[in-house]
Parts: sequence; structure tokens; C-alpha cells
Amino acid sequence: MFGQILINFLFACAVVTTGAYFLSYRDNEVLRNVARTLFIVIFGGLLLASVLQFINIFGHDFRYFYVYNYSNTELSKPLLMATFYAGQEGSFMLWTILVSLIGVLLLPYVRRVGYESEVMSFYSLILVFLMLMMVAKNPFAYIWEHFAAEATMTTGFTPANGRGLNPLLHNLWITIHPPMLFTGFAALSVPFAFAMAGLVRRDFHRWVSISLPWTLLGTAILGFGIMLGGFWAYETLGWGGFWGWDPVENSSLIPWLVCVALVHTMLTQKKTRGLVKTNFFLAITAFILVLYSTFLTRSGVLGDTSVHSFVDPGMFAFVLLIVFMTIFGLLGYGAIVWRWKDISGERADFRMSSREFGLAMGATAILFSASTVLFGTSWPIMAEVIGQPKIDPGIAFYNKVHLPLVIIIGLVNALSLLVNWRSTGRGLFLRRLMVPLGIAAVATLIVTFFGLRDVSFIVLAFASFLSLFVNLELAVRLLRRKPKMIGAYVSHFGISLLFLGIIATASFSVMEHVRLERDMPVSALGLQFTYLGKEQVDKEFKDREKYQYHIEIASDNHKSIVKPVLYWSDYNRRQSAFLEPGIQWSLNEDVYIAPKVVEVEGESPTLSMQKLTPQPMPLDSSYTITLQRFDMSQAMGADPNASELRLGVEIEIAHGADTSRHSLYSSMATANQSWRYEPYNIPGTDYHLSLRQIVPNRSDLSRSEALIAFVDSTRPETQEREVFTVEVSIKPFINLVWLGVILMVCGFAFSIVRRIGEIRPDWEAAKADRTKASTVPESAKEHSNGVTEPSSAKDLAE
Amino acid sequence: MLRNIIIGLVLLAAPFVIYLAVEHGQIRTVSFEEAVKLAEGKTETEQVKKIMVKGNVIVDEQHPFQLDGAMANFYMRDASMTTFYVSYDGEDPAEELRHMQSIAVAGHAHEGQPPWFHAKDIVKY
Repeated sequence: MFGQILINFLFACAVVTTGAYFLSYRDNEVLRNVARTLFIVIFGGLLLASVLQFINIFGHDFRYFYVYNYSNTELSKPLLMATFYAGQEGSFMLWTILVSLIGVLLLPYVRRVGYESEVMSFYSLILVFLMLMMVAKNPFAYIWEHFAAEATMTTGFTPANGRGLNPLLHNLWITIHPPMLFTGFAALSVPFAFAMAGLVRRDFHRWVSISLPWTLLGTAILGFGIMLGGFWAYETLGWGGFWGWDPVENSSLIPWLVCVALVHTMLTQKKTRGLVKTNFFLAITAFILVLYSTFLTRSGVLGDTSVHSFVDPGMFAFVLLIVFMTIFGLLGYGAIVWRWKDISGERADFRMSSREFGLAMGATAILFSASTVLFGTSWPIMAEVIGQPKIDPGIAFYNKVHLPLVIIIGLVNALSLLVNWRSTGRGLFLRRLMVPLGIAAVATLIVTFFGLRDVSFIVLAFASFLSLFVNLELAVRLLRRKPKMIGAYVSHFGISLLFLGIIATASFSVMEHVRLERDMPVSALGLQFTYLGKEQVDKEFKDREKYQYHIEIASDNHKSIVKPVLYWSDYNRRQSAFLEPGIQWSLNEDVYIAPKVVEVEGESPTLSMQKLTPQPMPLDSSYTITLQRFDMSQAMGADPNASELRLGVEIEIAHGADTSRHSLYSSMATANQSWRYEPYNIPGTDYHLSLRQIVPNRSDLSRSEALIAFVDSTRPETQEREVFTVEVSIKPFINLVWLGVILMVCGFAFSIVRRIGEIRPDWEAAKADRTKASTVPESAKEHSNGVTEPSSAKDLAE
Repeated sequence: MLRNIIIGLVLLAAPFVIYLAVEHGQIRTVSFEEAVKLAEGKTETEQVKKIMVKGNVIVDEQHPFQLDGAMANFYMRDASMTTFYVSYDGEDPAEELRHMQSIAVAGHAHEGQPPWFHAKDIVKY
């Protein structure tokens, strides 16, 4: 109850804060103080709400629907922590907290640069909408409130245990990847707020300088978060690769790409005062795309085209997300239109031989990439609009579009760094180009010699090597003279390594399917694989029997054991298996074992049956079998002293016009938990049936399943043996991908430090402005409001 | 000049992107047997491309049509005369279908004994 009241109170605070900030535009210090205080109260309140939610989660208080729906008593502490944001309500709450946290960090900064009212008014408005979403998707709703429409639960009802967390999320990456992504999303609110402030104040240049460190921060964190997701997919989810062009992956990639373009166009504006409209447009678009991304992933519109699954958030939240996007879109683009005439006066054209031209072309290529990903990701929605089944265009579409784009990006990156700002003579450019061009050509020849045959990959390798060597040369040169400026080159170097890693894994990876029988070595891809046996893990979870399959990998001089995992869970009604790959890591290549299926060969055919659903009998399709009912009268709990538990089903067998009913049982000795099946012979036939398993469906017991095995006693008995089929692949130089991303993020970090250093004099200037303003008469202050940029800004625009 | 170059490049590249999206964004119609082959060995974390199977609804004593709220479970027979079980749980609420009604189901097959089809869309024609 307190949690709900707190959320509503904080929403009201956010509304008042936003109003106060908007009203403080005319230098109303009192209102600004009120708004500032309230903003900090909101942050404190949200922290308190988080503490409450953690208490509910760790205390297993299943009265709360959120706690019931996403956690259970079996989860480990790190996973319990992750349930905080595993569901929709929690993820909105995390996003809101991060926005408020970044806002608290932003406050002293915007005060120093003299932008508080304008920036914080729009920033608080974002908080209003996020808080409204929390009011709509209340993480503190009681379970009986959630099911109020069904009227099935009485007030105060507390379930004994929760539904638990999706088994796919049971690993440590969930504690890092989502918070990182949401921090990136939250940080992208800052350039939006600055852009809006710039438009309001008719300050078309200074906002770029002061928001650049925040844009870099958001881009770095979001990029790192995206790649952590890629690493998670590779290391745990067994996708075999690090990027699957899944709609949910794409939806965070799109704003990131726009931000990367924005960083480059901001740098161009800082240097040349050109691309003014572009920067306003991109800063606003990046934020709108964060909202669109949230809409795609949280509204359920891509529910059946993505591996990530989010349930339908309900009509109110769905509409709210659309309203959220529309309002900020109208505000942002409307403001650009409003100031269009003024901005149009700021036009600049670039010479083709200048760095700004190269940066603009690079940004265009990156934006084109973002547009194609946006187009592809929205394709299922467009298909639905024209009455077609929703379908994702798939990996091939994205790969085909991006191959030429990535080549262009690599080439433009290299060439643009070899030219000066404004203009460069041809001779100078060619002299600078010669050495890296020669080395890149030789490196490309070497990789071609080692087996790179695809022409497009050869061109991409050349572009990547050229970019790599150009950036390396410049970075080494700068390291001696101006180490502060090394950031961009380190980032570009990382990106080039990433491209080379992608080429290596795409071109040189080899894969083979291997069927492994216990203790029987099998050779594949120059290695020897032996299945040594399995070990049950995570026994505390009752919805699954999870096994690690121990596989020994032997080469001439080395042996190691990897432990891929494959299991079925009630969580998805055992419709498809969950897997985790086994990876033998090494510096130059990974041996990647993705489990596919575990079969027991020689085993009797089985049938998985739901109640009242007739199915043909596997041994003889002239017989139809229908599961009539489950008999749990002798199951656990019926008699606490029983030495044996018995599970049973009643089936109906139809053969022509004849139908008959029979009961099948299997029993488990409570002492040693061993199962005994009680075969049943269909009268007049040689067919024997036995009940092997009952798979309960916890969300809907009527959809529980019974596994029935069939034996034809006239056929000779074969010995059952377990066969583990895996997909083995060797992925050379995959580490270049991870190293590339780490370097890219490091480069961003260097750049952030550099850009903050550049802003420092501006703080002092703004402080001086404020002091000066406080001594001038009120009428003069009013006159200065909303006018062009402050005097200090001109000096800093460079 | 920069603006003209960018506009020119976008105008050149956009039709290519649209062509590729149309080419890859079409749903493939396959037989149920092919659908099962496409689903072979796929696990919970793998993407199975959505496909469509055309056929007729089978409703008789042994093949009941079960409407379960917005969901439906029923049988279909495709052009190669394979009868298979369909479980529909798409966005649009399911409607009663009659025996031999021609429909197409979009979704993906699941392995199992016997395999079955998990439909997300039902197209009547």
C-alpha cells in the first residue's frame, strides 16, 4: 500500500517539478529552488521505492503480483536482485530511477553552465511520463488487485511460491546487461533536453559543446550494454554468434547508431558551426527512437517475431507509450520547425577535401544503417497494417544491406582522418595515405592467402585494415604529443578490430554436427570429442531437470572438459528445450559446442498427451488414444506414510467403432525415488503402454501433459543408449570482436574526459555571467532572457 | 553540395533496401513436413523463421475443434494429405472453423511425437 501511495506522490512531485522549472524560465530563482528540491525528493523517493521493492523480493512477499510473477523462493540472491527489473513494471521502474539519478548528477552541471531551467524542464517532463508509466504499471500492485476482474482471489491472499524467473534469464549476465542498457537509454534523455533548451534559448551552438560529454557518455554506455547482450547471447544463450538481428537487439541498436552519428555531427558543428539543424534533429530523434524502441519491445507488437518475449502490457500502457512518443515527437520536431528560420541562417557548406565532409559522409552512412535497421524492425508492423502475417525480414536482409555500408564506413573513417578541417591539398593527402594504404593492401593479401575468398569480405577487410592502420598511426603520434586527444582514434581502432573479428568468424568458422555416445570418442574438425556423462544441476528448481553434459575435447597436446547444458522446463510447457553452450576459450579461437538434442536410441516411441486431445498411436495409427483424466489420488500428500507414490491416467482407446477405457500407472518408491512403470497390454494386441511422466502445467492444470510409452512385444528388444547431438564449431579470432568493443568504449571514456576538460572554462564564464546578472536590474534581466547565446559561448563554440 | 550528394545516395540506395525487405519479408508457404524439418533441433533460444502452411480444417469425432477462449486447437490436412494438430494462440481471438474450410496458418512447427503446428495467424481464403 505504501509503495503505491509513494509512486503516486512521486508522480505528483514530478508534475510540480516540471511546472516549476517551466515557470522559472524568467529567472525565477524561488521556483527554480522549489523545482530543484522536488527533483531531489523524487530521486530520494524512488530510491525508497526501490528499497521497498527489494524488501518485497528478498522477503518473498508474494502478496505483490510483481514478486509473485517474476520470482520464487528457489532463486539465488543475484537472480532475486535481477527480478527487480525482469518484468515490465520493474524495467520501467529501473529506467525511471536511472533517469532521476542522472538528473541529480546533471543538476550541478546545468547550474554551472547556466542552463538549469531550460534543460531540467524538459528533463523533468520525461520523468513525468516515466512516472505515469509506473502509475499505470504499478510494481506494488497486490495479486488480488491484479486478478480483480476474475474475482478469484480474496483480499490478503498470499501464494505459497512465485512463478519464478524465465529459465533463459538464469545467469549472471542479467545482473549487468539490462541495467547497462537502461543507463544508456536514460543518458540519451540528456542530449534531448539540451537540444530542446538550445531551441528555446535560440542558442544553436553552445548546447552542442556542453551536451557533448553527456552524448558521449550515453553512447558509450548504450554501446557497451548492447555488446554485453551480444556476449550473453554468445556465451549463454547458445545462438552461436553474438548478433542475431533480433527485433529487441535492433531496437536498442537503432538509437545507438543515431547517437554515434550525432557525436560526429556535433564535433563537426563545434569545429565549423555547420550541421546545426542536423544536430537538433539527431539529438531529438535519438531520444524518440529510445521511446520507439521501448514501444516495440514493451507493447507486445513484436511478440511473435522476437526471441525476447514480453507479455502484452495492457491497453492503457500501450496507448500511453504511443502518447509518450507522439508528445515528445511533436515537442521536439515542432520546436525545430518553430526555430527553422533562425537555424536556416546558420548554413555552412563543406569542401570535399575537408574532414567535416568526411565526417558528414560517415554520419550519413551510419544513419542509413540506422534507417535500414528501423525499417526492417518495423517491417512486421507494416505487414500487419496491410493485412499480412507479421514476419521479420530476417538475418539475410540485414547482412546484405550492411555489408556495403560497413565497407563505406571503414573507408570514410580512414580517409576523413587523413584530411584537415576546412581543406587539404591533394599532395598532402596522398602522402599521408601511402603508408597505411600499402600496409592495408599487404594485410589484405595475407588474409586472402590464408583463405578469405569472398570478394565483398576482401573489400571489407581492406577497408577495416586501412581504418585500423590510419587510426593506429594517428594514435601513436598523439600519444607522445597530446594523449588527451587519443579517444576517437582508440574507438575507431576498436571498431576496425570489431569488423575484422566479424570477417574472421564469418569466413573462417567451421561447423559440424556430432552425435556423441557415452565414452565413445568422435573426431570432428581436427579434434576428438568424448561424452563423459551428465550431472544434474540447479536441483532446487522443481520445474526442470537440468543437466550439464560433460564433454572432453582433446587435441594433440591438450585436453579440456566443457559442460554444455540442455533441459526442458515447465516454464514453457516443455514445448522446446533450453540450452547453454559449452565453450573452450583460447586467445586465437573458441571451440563452441551448442547442444541440439538428447535422444535415447532404442527407446520405445512415446506420445505427449493433453486431456481430451485424440492422437494416433505411434505403433499403429488405426488406434486413436485420448487422455481422459489424471488420477492423482495416490500421489504425494494423499498418504504421508505411503512407501510408494502412484500417478495415474485414464485413457480411451478407439479402434474402428470400438472404444474402451483403461488406466495406466507408474509408481515411485519414496525411499530411493526410483520409478517403476506398470505396463498395460491392450487386450487382443501385442502393444504395451506405460505411463512415463506427468508434466504439470502450473499456469493451467487442465493443459498438463502425460508422456506415454508404447512397446510392441513382437519386436526384439534393443538396448537403450543415450545419444547427445551437438553442433561443434571453431570460431577463430572471435576475441577481436570483444576486444574491439572494449577499446571502443575505452575510447569514448578518453573523449568524455577530454570534452569535460574543454567545458571547464565555460563553467567559470557562466558563473561570472550569473554573478553579473544578479547585480543588474530586473528589467535588464528580463530583456536578456530568451535572447541569443551568452557572450562566453562564442569563445567556446570552437 | 553535401546535401545533394547525400540526397542522391539515399535515392539510389533506398529502392535497393526496399527490394531486399520485400524479398526477405515474405512469408514462405511450405508443407507441414517441411515446416517440421525447419524446426528440427531448434531450441528455446533459437529463432525459427515464421512460415505458412495451407490446407483444410478437419473436424470430426476423432478430430474435435476446441475453442478455448481466444485460443483454438484443431486439426488440419495440407496438400500432401498430412493431418496435423494446430494450436492457435495469436493476437486476434480465434473463431469457430468448419470442416474442410480452406485456411492457411502462419507460425512454426514444433517437434514432438507427433509434431504439431503453433499458429500465430489464421488466414481464411
